[in-house]
Amino acid sequence: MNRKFKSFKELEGCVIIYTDNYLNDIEGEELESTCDIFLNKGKKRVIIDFANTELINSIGISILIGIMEKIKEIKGILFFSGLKKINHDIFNVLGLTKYVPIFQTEDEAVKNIMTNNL
Amino acid sequence: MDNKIIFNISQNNEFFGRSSEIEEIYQHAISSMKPTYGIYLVGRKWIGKTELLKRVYHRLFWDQNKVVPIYYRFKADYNTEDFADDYLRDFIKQYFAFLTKNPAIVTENISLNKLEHLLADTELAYLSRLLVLHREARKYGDHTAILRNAINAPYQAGIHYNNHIFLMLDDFDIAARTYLREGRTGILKEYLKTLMSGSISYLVTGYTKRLFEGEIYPNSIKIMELTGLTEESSIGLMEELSRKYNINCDKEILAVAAGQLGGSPAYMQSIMAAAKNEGRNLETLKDLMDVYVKELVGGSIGFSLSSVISIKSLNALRLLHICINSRNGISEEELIEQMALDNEETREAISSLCELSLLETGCGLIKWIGDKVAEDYICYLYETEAKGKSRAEAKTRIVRKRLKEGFYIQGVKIKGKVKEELLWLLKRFNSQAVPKILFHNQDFLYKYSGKMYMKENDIKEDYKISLPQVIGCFNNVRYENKEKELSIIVGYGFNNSRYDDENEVVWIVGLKESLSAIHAGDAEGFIRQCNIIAGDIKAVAVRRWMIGREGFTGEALKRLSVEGIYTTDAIQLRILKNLIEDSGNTNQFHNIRGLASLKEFEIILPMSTKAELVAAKAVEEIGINIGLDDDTITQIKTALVEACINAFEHSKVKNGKVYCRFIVGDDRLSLHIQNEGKDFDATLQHETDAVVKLLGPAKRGRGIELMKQLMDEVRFEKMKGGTKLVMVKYIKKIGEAKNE
Repeated sequence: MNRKFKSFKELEGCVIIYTDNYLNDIEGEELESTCDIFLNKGKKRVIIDFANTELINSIGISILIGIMEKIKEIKGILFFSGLKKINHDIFNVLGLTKYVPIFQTEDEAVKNIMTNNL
Repeated sequence: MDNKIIFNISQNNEFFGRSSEIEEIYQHAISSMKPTYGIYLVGRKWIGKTELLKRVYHRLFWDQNKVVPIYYRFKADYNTEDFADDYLRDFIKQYFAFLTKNPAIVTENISLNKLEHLLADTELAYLSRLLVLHREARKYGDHTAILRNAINAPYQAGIHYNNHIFLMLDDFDIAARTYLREGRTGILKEYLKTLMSGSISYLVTGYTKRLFEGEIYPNSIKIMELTGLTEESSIGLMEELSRKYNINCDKEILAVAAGQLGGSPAYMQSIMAAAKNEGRNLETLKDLMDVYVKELVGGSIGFSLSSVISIKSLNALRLLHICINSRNGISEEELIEQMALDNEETREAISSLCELSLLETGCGLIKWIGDKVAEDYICYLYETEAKGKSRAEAKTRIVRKRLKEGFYIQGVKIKGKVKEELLWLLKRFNSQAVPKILFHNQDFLYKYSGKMYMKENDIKEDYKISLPQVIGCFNNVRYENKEKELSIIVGYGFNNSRYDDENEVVWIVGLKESLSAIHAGDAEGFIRQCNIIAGDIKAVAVRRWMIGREGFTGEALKRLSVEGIYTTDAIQLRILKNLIEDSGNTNQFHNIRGLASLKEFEIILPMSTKAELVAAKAVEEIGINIGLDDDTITQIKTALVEACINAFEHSKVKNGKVYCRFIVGDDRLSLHIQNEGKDFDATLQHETDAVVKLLGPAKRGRGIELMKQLMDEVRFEKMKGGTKLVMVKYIKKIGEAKNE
């Protein structure tokens, strides 16, 4: 069992998970485990906030894609927020932005995710 | 009856340097049995367009019988009827003269009525009928019929007699400004209807390329730009005249005169005639400037200029003076502010000065486009009329300015052919670091115009460019375009004194030695030639460099800057030559070897968790140090992290290491990442289309795509005992292209 992910905020109806400064294989796997815990608890609305993340490598991105796939399978909703410009560009280049809505701030993401019907 | 001059050509020994243009127009005239395009001969006033046409006419008249040459020169103050009378009369006389090979018909004064009766009972009775139609239209005051009958006459006659006609319409831009009395339909439009029909072969002349904007079909007209005579031809012409007038001349002074007079045959003839009339020799700069200024303010040059440059107000004069002094152009807002006038008034003045071909507007800037002689004339008017100075004071000011300039030109003049000097210079490129401004003409003019060039401190402070070490250079005749007077030299070498593929570079140099500045057409031609050469030699890196003995037009500089092509004029080249010579003797300037060692960094990473972040931190420091912006730094860091984890992943050596080397060049940051063991190569890459396949277990494969997106160059090099990944990020400046 992986370590429990350090930073998250559980709200009524959704959960916000905060990523670390560098999203690589280890941090990515921790993120995935934390996400699994909440999905197993029945949470279907997930926000991943990247406000603290400066660097993301391709393994981190692959893990994110795995998370996207899992949430899609259970017909849940996934939003990203707080992306720095370079990371937004990378997500764009690799096509992630076609599948996941991105918001500038965590608050905007929360407001929107709660109005989305599952 | 100006068109009588068509048979009055100058003596052969007083005509220089236009043989290729005459041949091209002559061949076009006799070969275009069904013309697909016309020719627009564009060039400044008094550059020799009319003399050239006269010579073409002469050849067509005497050397062949198939094509009837017709020459007409427009006059500014004619109304529709005057124009139609004149045009019809000249056409019919020239047609008649050609068929009978009797030039006297053209030079004789014959009225329209007399012509009508003369032709009525001859084989050319159809021409007489055209005159009858014209007489009837005049009688009923039908302006449209008068105009159309005259303009279509050559075409109608050609069809009737089954002859081919080559129409030469001189000063055609005057037609653009002439209107019918009623309806305001331009003669230009009427002409264009006939000319654009493709049924007649023609050549028109004018001063500005803008004449036809929006009026012609694409590819229906070929623009032929006539520039000043080359220095060699100019000196040849002036030497011939000096023999004729018995004037003693110094060849170097004639070279200065050629530059000052912009290779204009008319100006040169005026100066030589004035020297003869005053009994002056042209042996010193002072001799030349005395004659020149006298001609400019009270002689035939001044008279000609005053007849074509009609300055309607002091404000127009001030406006021109501001534009002359702002070498690179001035924005409309700035001009309005400096002039302290309302917008409408300033715009009207700009528009009328553009019509006089003194100013040009483009890209939000207003620029002076007149020649040096017109510039002096305007400055003289400004000093006397706007500033109220005496004529003597204003003349002295011009003499002082031109004497200093002439003296400097003599001093910096590169003896012999610039091409030979350039070959010599390129062979001495040996990784020196030299001021970048010597390759950016626009910046150089902006910084040093009117000031002392390249003081020692300027050289120290200026940004540097690293020259390659040239190992061979060739004057590549195969690629040269003789018509455009552009020599192409190709230099092969290596950057950073490193003899590997990454540092191999080819310099393609385009040189224009003639007395006219490099214009947009030259720039386009050079860009095309470079593409062909680069394709042929398959070089990894190409640096393009244009050198103009007389500099560049604003339009050309703009185009070349967008393409990232280096631009250098004769003065910059001279300074560069001195620096290269000095660097060989005194090692005054940094050699790139020294520079490279200061800007080369190496890190050896162990295979441990997050070791790649150490490399990322190092490259961040380097990026900050060389002034990269945050976005670029993060892009490089992300790509580097990706490269490092790839290197870790594919190095199968226990306790292996990853070697990172960062090299800061003048215009690029290169990252070399090398592992020990097996390859990490591009075959790792999955499908590289950007659309993500929502994969489950596959966690790798996007790294290379990511690196390619973030960096300007990504390539793998096979090494003994591993693989090296090389990534390059260009340090871009505005307007510099990525294609180096």
